[in-house]
Amino acid sequence: MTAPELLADFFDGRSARAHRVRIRLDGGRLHLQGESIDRHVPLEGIVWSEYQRRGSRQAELPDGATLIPLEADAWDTLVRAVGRREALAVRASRSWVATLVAVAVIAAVGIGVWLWGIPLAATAAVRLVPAAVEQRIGDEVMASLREGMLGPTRLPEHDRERITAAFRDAVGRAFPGGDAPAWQLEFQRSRIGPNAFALPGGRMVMTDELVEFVARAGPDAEAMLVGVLAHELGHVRFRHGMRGVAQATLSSLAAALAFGDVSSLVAVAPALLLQQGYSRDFEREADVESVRILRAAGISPAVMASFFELLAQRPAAGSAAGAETGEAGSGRRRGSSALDIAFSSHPADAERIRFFRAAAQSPH
Amino acid sequence: MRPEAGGQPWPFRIRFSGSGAEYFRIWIVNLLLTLVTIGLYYPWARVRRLRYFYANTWVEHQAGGYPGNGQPGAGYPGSMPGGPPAPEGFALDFHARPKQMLTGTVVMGLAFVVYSIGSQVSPVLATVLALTVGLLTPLVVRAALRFRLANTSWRGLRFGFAGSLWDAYRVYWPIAIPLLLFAASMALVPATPGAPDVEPAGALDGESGAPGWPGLASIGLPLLLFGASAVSGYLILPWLWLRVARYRHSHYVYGSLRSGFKLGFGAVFRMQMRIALVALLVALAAAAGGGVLLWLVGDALLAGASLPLPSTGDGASEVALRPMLFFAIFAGLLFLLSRWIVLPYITAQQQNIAWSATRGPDLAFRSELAFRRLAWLTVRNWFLTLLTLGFYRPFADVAVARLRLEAVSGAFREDPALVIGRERERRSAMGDIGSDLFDLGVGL
Repeated sequence: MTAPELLADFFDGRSARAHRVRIRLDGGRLHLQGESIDRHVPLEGIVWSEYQRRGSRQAELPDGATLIPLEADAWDTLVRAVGRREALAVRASRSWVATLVAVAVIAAVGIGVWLWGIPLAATAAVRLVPAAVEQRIGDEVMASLREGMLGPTRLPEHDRERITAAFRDAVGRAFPGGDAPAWQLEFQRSRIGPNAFALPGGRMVMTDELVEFVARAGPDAEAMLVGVLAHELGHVRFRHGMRGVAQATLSSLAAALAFGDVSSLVAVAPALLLQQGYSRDFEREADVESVRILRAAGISPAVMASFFELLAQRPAAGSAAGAETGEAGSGRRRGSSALDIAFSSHPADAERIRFFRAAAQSPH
Repeated sequence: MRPEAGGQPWPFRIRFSGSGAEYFRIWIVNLLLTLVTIGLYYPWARVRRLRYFYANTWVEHQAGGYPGNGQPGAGYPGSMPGGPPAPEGFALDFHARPKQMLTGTVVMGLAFVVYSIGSQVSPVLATVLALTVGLLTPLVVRAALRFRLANTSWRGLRFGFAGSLWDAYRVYWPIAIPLLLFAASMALVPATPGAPDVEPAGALDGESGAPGWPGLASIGLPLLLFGASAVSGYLILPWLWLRVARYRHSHYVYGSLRSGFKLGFGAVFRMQMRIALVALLVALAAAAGGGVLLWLVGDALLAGASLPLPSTGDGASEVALRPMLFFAIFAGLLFLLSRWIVLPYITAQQQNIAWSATRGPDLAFRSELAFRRLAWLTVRNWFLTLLTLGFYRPFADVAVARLRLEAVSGAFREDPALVIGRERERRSAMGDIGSDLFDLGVGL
């Protein structure tokens, strides 16, 4: 390759005046020649700017002077002739193959963080949260739920004690070492219908409506309630509430890093999406725990399958279940059945019924 | 253009030749290497990014400096392959060495982590950290400006920043008002263990009325101070903005040239009022839009809501949900509209007003950034970034840089080729990185 000669502007670094020079390679040196300029600069001391398609080419000389070419192509040829090896990163960004590899790796890292990194980090972070803090968060959530959705229970005291005792007995057998997570069970009349949930800190809530609803299952009712509570205890044991919060926070953080300016909205959206995916995993984990506790208590996991079937057959809105609560009729269109159908026909339900059936049939 | 530069004005304009596709490859490689090296590559990535943007920022002006060359621009034959017509000027260059910035990165990274975690741990620590950051802000801003400008060159000559440290502190002192009020409110919060400091006052008459609620008197003063801190923070904003803009824009140095800044508080106050008006209109639009949406699709949304709870089918929950749904729609709309309209408006206003006020005997700037184009570009970038899961970001950055840079023009007092340089100084890289992390927004 013959190193070209080309025109460049030479700036001495002390004034902004450009001096037109002709430059060429001369052995291990760069020869600059122009009006009142005739210099040989050793190549080692020259800092060449990174190659850019349309960006300005420049070279810094050791004494603070600058060379800016008039002809970009000739300059690029000259720089190649100098034999300067561009940094790996620079060569990588000039190659489309390397760029595609980088895109693939980044995408893979993103997916990996999404699927495994965030749950793992959340689990690790939750271990650092003191029990007192978790308890306090649970208390705060409970206080806000009491304001909007829950009210004092109207169940007879002996019913509540009977259910609590049955569950305590089951837990005692499932954790013979007495190492069960701390839990408190509360009954509440609610606006959310038959339901049960666990809060951070071990507080578990069962709605009056659930107890009343399950009563129609006859002798199996108590076993079903124990199964539901065992599921909730699974949430408590694996600290799903706190992990959910930690995962939402971490996924927002990750999205903020990935999207920058758009982050704030995107920070919410993936958090919600992730929550759905993660919470399905949480439910499965809690179901496994439910099966374990039921078995230890000598109850067949099949009662949970029956429970979900019972839920699925729940009468549509406006009839029995709705009327029973007797709250705020207010002449408004009675809540849509669309929601009920959407819920009961949810594939997750069928999957869970299958899960509990299979658990009932397998010996262990 | 009415350049106010003295002598024979020598107009210039700025052209940006960066391309999204080219920057994308730099960006993705930077990102990968930064990930792989757990952040240690960051200074190199930063220098490569800055150099890319600088080398593509051309300050073009009449070329008159060559002996025997009467034609403006005649000395610059078309030379850049595939590029637009030959620039009649020179690009900027950035000279910082990444190794210089490595220590700064580590120190500032640690400081940032301490700040983020510390301010969550306890109110006392949060206050102390906020005060520390407040105390260090002028120092960091000045260091950042000096470092950035000392490492920026044009026509082989470095820029400089001549603002003194004393001036920096004098400029920033109003920050102390909201900060001290905040600290005072934090110091006065009663440290009763188990005080229900988060429950709303409405809980007092309910069944959950907590015993030992500290009387309103003891919580009233801190609350008042806290409110005063927030309000004063907002009120001093335009004043502080003007002070900082003046400090920055009147101390730029290029060789023997020095920038000046002429802007009265009246203009800044009017700008702030315009921004407040736009924000208000946007909030009203969001409320109206929220109402219309609720009316149109509210029923469908409430019916099909995939709440994880089986419903009793009772109307009661719907009554509770309706205001919540309205608030959610309103908040979402407000968020989007402020990103798409209010923020571009603020950006355009501030850039135009600050740079058009940057004029003196040596140098005059003018910025004519069109709000509509910036808003439209923002919306576009936003959607494309979302659709590409973030991979459009480098394209967005290049497009925004082009729009904002090419809005700027100006004039020199004389042929810039005649400018004589000053002694070169070395600057600490600490401030530069710090300003990046703490988002103090240095640079155009």
